[in-house]
Amino acid sequence: MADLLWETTVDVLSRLSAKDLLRCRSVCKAWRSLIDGPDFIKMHLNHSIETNSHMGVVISCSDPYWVDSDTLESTVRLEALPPIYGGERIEVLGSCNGLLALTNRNGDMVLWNPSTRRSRSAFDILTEVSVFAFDFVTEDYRELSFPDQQNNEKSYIKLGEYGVKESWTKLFSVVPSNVTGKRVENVMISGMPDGFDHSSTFCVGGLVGVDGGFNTGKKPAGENGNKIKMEKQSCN
Amino acid sequence: MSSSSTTTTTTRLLMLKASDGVTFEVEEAVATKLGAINNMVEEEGSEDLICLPNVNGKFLGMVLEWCKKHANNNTNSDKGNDEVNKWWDKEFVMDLDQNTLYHLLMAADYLSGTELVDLLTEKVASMIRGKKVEEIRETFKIKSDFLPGQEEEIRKKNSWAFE
Repeated sequence: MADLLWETTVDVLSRLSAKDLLRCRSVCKAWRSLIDGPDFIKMHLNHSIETNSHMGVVISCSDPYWVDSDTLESTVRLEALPPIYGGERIEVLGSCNGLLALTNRNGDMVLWNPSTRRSRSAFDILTEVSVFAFDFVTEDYRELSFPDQQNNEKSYIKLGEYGVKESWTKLFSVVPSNVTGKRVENVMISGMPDGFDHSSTFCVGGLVGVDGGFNTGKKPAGENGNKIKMEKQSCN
Repeated sequence: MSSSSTTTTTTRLLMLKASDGVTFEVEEAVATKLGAINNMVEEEGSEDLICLPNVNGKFLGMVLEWCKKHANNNTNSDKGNDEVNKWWDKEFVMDLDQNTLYHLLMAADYLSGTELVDLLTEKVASMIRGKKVEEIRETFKIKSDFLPGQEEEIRKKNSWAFE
């Protein structure tokens, strides 16, 4: 009986959904450390984007459902919601690469990956929001200038965790209320049927890897380790 | 044993020799679907006999069968080729036993048959989708190397994925 080459195993696993991968993590140590690694997460995200797979739409904020965007058939009620869901009115600030940024009336904010059902408090992020930008091309940080508040142009902001090379896993786009004063109206929903209520749907694009950058055990290096920087991304 | 091409004789024929000495006569247009052979043809030019010491005749034959089918489908009518190829691909991988699948995957990889590697890798992935951890371990002959309790902890953390 032949064995699979390790590269083949990696290729195979990168094609699986987050749910399958969460189970595969408990197959053996080698698989677990592969699946949790930033390189694999990046590979998985790229594969999802290239092949348009594992895409879904999250519908309704207070009682969210997941719809597979390929088939629009299976509607799954999302459970194991982040603690921010507690009868409070939830707003989705934005989404990117499978992560949603949620906030409630108290101003609590979390980053949530509906594919893996993992979340992390993002309260500390807000304090840093207007300072730095993360440039995806150069994978470097630079200062960010916010668009004029009078300007109606929609601004999308991507966040990255400062000081970590793989910050892309922790990125999402946001329209901060202090910039536009309103929630995101339309987030990259393509191929949805007419009449679909866009105002309460948020496309969860290419799935972020299992850990989605929420591995709280890993603190980024440097004194500014836990702070989030952002980038303005032009939209439409 | 040699497979002969019965179609047009105007195209150039290549002779491929597998590790066990089995030879295949294949149209150049078919064989060059494989990146490795395409490179050899381009580099060596006039060479008509290509030795492939890393591929066994059985699996080389199967890889070439796949190439031929795809080459034929693509020369027929333009419309519906993708559908035909997809249907044929499904048939091709349906009854592969795991040992053959692995060897074929290695052969396709060695020959740089990107599309075929993709097809076979998808087949392996389908052996994991929706399966229980124990089933995955059995399929891939993997023994759990977690400490007692460790695995339980991983499961508990993401229990929804195990339902």
